[in-house]
Amino acid sequence: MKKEHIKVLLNSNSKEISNLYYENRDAFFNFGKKYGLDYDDLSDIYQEAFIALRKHALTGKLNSVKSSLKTYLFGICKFMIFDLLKERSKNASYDPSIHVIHDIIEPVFFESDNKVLTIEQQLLKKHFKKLGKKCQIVLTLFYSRGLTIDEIVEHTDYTNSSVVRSQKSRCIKRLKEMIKS
Amino acid sequence: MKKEDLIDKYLQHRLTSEEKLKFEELFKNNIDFKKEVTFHTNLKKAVKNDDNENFRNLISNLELKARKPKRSYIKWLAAASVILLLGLTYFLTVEKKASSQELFSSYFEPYRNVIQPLERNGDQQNEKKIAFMAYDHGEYEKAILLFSKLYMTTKEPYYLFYKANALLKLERAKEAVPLLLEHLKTKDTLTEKSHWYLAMAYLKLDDKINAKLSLKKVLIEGKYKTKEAEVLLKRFK
Repeated sequence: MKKEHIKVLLNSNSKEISNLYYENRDAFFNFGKKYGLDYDDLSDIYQEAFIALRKHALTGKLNSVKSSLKTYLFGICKFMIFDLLKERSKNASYDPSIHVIHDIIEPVFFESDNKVLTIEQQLLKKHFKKLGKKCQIVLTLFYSRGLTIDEIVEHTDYTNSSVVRSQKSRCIKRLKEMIKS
Repeated sequence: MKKEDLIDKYLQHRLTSEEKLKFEELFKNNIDFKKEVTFHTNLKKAVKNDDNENFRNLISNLELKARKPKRSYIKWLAAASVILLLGLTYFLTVEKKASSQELFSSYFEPYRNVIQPLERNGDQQNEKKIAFMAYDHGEYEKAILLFSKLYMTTKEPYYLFYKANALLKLERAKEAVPLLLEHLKTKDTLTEKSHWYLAMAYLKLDDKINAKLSLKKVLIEGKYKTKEAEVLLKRFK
């Protein structure tokens, strides 16, 4: 997979994500139609698969992927399509022949991790949302995107790592104060 | 190495085996250290959850934008419904005068769920999912209760919008009006639709003056249900 694609997913800049999202959307709808799913199903699946793709970028899974972004994304879609068809097969009107479609896309396993936050985590999230933009950005880059302090310097307007470090400490201190009060 | 750095490295899975031993020892024997690690682990989950949610909203907006122009049959549907409405208008004016109630019933339809799309995989349920599932399944009473609760905790404006829609469906327009007015003060992708539903609520309450005002706002916004608003406004004359 192209490094720049992984970078776009990690940065999650809305303009770049928008380009990447639309780049493969029409092709996916053509691909997905073969499985007899309607527009709403395909629309749901494409969204969920794209979100899953970003999760794979964040966990570093994409770094070792040899196939193109499109093939990998469609692989996740295919997995989700099979999952949906399986779910529907429990209903009587399901036609199993629908499964036999030949294409080169290998399904990519995707594990959903919609874990519900604990009360402490919910509280932290609530106060995190109240922090200033700068704090939210630094903490997101560090905790969610997994960037090191040096990588945050590269990514932002901060001049050096000690500025980032002290900014991060200040934000955490502020968060702790908010929780105590 | 400072304890803080040790925790940072632990959170990003970058501890060397030597550091790992040091970390484990501290975690076992030092209560403050353990507390600190728990705090940061929780913070990581909270921030990740927020980041994922923002990304999900971004994608959902992109999909929403893509759906409008791509579905060309929507234009035909709109054209067909205008013809139908014009015919209906003719029929109603010639045969009898339609009451506000009748107009409400023929025009109102709860807005579809675009917030929490159908998710497969995993059995974990959360309240948001349950709320929207209830809404999708027409269990409006249940959806209303959950939307209220979720709005209290998250302050996400879309809960106001969907709660109002559910109330309208249950013919509780009076309760829907303040929610829609509140929703109009916020700015999310659904705000442009609120004027239409406010018009529906006023229609249900037989408040033609406010219904007209809201319909005019629908036309000014020019984004959602403009054709229908135009036809309805003509009906009032």
